[in-house]
Amino acid sequence: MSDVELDQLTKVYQSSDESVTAVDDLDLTVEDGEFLVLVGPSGCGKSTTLRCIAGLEEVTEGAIRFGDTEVTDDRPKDRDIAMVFQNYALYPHMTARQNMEFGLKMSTDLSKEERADRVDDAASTMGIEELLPDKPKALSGGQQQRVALGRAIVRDPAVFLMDEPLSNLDAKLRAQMRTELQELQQDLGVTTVYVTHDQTEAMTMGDRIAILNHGELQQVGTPLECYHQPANQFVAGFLGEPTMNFLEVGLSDDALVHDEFVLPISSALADSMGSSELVLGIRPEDVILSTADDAGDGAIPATVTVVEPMGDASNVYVDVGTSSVTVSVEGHAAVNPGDEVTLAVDESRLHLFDRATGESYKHSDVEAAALDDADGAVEAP
Amino acid sequence: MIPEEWRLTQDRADFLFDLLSRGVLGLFIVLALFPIYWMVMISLRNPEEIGTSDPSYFVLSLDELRTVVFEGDLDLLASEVDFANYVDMWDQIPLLEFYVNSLIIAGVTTVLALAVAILGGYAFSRHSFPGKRYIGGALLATQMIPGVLILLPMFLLFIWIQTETPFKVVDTYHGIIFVYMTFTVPVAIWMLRGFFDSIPASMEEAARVDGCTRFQALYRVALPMAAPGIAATGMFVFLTAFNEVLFAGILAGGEVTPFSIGISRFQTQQTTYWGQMMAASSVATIPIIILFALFQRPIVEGLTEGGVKQ
Amino acid sequence: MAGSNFDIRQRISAVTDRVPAVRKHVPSLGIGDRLPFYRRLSGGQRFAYRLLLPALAAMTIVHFIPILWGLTISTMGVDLTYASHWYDAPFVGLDHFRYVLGIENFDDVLVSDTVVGERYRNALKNSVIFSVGTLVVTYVLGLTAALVLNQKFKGRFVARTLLLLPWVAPVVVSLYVWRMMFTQQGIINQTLLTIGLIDEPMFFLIGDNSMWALIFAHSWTQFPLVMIFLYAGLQSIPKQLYEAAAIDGAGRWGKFRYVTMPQLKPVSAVIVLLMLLWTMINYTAPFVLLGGAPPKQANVAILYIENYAFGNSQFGRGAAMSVVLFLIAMVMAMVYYRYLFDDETTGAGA
Repeated sequence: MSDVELDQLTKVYQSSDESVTAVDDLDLTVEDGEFLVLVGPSGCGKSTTLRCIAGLEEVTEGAIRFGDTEVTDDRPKDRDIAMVFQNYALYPHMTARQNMEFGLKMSTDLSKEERADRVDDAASTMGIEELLPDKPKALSGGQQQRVALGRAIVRDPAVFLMDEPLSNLDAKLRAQMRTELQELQQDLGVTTVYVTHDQTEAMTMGDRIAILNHGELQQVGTPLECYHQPANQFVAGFLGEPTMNFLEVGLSDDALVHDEFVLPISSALADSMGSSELVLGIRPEDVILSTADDAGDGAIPATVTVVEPMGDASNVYVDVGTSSVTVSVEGHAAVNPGDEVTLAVDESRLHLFDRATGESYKHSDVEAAALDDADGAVEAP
Repeated sequence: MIPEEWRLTQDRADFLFDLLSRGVLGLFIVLALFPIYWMVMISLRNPEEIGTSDPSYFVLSLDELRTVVFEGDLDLLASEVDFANYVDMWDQIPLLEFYVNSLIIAGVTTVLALAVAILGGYAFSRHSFPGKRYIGGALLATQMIPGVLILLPMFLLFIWIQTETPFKVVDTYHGIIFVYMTFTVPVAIWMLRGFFDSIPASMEEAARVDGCTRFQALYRVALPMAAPGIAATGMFVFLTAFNEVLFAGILAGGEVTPFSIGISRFQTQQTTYWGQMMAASSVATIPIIILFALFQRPIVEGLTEGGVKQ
Repeated sequence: MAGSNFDIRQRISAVTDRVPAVRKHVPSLGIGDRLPFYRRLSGGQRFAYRLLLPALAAMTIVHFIPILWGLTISTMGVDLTYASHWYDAPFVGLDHFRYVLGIENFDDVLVSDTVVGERYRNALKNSVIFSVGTLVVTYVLGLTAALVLNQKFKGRFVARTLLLLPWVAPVVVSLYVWRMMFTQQGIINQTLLTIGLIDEPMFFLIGDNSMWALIFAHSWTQFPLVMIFLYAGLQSIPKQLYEAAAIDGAGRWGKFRYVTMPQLKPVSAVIVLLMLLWTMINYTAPFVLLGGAPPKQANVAILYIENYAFGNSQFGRGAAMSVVLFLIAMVMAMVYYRYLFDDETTGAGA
């Protein structure tokens, strides 16, 4: 067990005529025993980061430390890690038992009997004892997944590395394995770095998540921190389904000015803005939809375009001028396409970002909002 | 004009087209098999019969065939099939020696070329490195070098080594094997690269995380997985070496004469012992055809994948 | 995947003008570290070079050095006297090339002549005929066979195996079989006589027919290769294309003309080039079929060079002839590639 420290990690792919920075000056510490999820869109450098930790990619600049030991230039075999791959990478010419035993054979001096015991232990943890004599070809996707996990835990490594291990499973099995994997990690208490592009996995599995984009770290924090207090517009837009609504607004005289509406804000908030070119961010569940005509101050006029009933909730898509806004409504939405509606937002739930840099000036203050016991009314300042 | 029932409907057109393509297929199969059949056929004929103007396509006439099949008259078959060629050919020329030489030369060439090409093909499949394009281009360029252009300096080199140094290279196994190995390596690299490409790289990565060095990951994980492809490439190399005549004719005479050169000794100034030559040819061909039938899937895939991918 | 590539490509422009990162960490790997080039390589690249080393070493000895050496002796008077010490042979400049090409001086090309030069040029012409003829025959046979094989029917696998046998059977053996079948008493003559197509046996391996015999026998051993390439190409054509063509009203010919042939173009391009080059430098077929005294109608360059150079111990002149043959093959490959490349840039290529 140990923590994992990435110190100004940079990875540049160099070919004869161009170089691409896949990971850019990444500082990140994974605490001992922590489950950290690296998440981001494809090409964001999350897999490269993981492969650098594994030693499968060479680091261009910076250092990687496991505990107090620097491992930056160590070969993968010398790092005391185990890795689970997206395609499981089970050796097809070996049985499940041989697959699990292979790492012990290559990296330890254990006797044959000791190795067999370790494999049996790991297999019973994963519940795959009866699969041990089979070759990977004879196993289902879910079973292969378990053998791959078994192969990782049998090593009892300092660090687990997982590269989208669930993405080849069907939806139902994936949900099940998500819980199981999380429990397994908690039981074993092994430091785990988990790469995924799926935000559900990130939100539900990670003790903390690290969001990457273009090789740069955007934010590290607990899932809820990142969700409610995104550090910038990218994080705000990346997490959440449906995604956060963004509207370009200007700041003038304690109000957010849009072509279609003027939204008054408190002067304290207005004073805290670093720029007058802003992006207003509102989560779909934070928008209050009203069919009443008596639009109060700060109400936003909108036209319904599409209504998506989801069963327990509905997504209503409305047009505000030329921009589209998504509203999540609990239960059934009593509106139809073409209806004129008004939207309202609670100032405490607003996000405001700098339009040029994407930096967050204000995030949703969930706790404050909860104390307010908001009843959905728009409070004019 | 045309009776209704003769009209070319879609179904009839399809049927005719199928008929036509079966016919063409049949024709091609006859074309492909006839020389092989004829080789075996001639090898089983009485030497005196060969060369007479009797164009009988079968060992037996139709009547004889009927007797053999329906009346079980195996003696008739035995009397018409003549194994004399298979017995006499060993004395006519030192055929066994030629076979053994060919097996040694082609066999050792195969093992060495595979060893070298597995490493090279793996490097090409898995890594990008400065100069990869040029080395790859050089590999392909070797395919358009006329053999004589290399043979001439090679011959002078071998002569020089032979006369000026204590080493022997002309008419030795190691001399011709070294040349063959190098000739077959570029194509073998090309084929093996395709096979390695079809193995996910995460296999060796898993192995490296499991405690293997790069080289251990290659021979403990990638190699067993590429086994069918390696067998196919091996067969290709073996056949190339087995069939070579240009270098063999100049650099491998005397003690190490291979079958491809030695077989011509069935032709003498006076006559050609076609029957024995065909018997010897059958002995060489049939095991190869059987081997091919066993490994044909990877051979066919390996050949075409390299080509289609370019 | 596509998304990630796109992303990366977008980023290239943003990144390229940055100062290339300097490696801070260099694993120690022994003496190679002292070479600046080697030091810059990643571990994977070093590993790749080490894997390629045996192949490159062998190819340097057997391919690259001999080619340079061949070029060298093509300018030297190496004959039997100098066979064991070629380096003492006199330098003759381009004399060999003038001699075999019939160029007295570079102002009047192809005027002066020698018997050897005339025969050699004839052999070059034969080589081109042999290449192009083989290409046409193997392509027609291969394409037809591939199309027929591409139909769905029972026993297709067996049929494919049978059609591949001519290529699998040892070429030397097959060619001797053809040589036997081409003789005066051979089965081909016997058959033609029986059917009544000819009145007396034909000479296949002597005279005007010999080139045809050579092309056909060689094509028989090579067409399965063309077939299997084209067959693989046919198999990789997406079915939807044919369905779309059918909806657009294309019949059997329309599908072949507008779907099959364009889709086969990339594979065809490769196999056409390979057949041309491989036939150009093929020695086995003419050697086995025609032997040491080939008829002048079918005496191809490589056979002529071998017979002449080793028969007369004219190694320098033989090398010059080989160089010319090599250059012709190279030029053919380059012209062909240029043609292919032009075709693709105009958008006609698949």
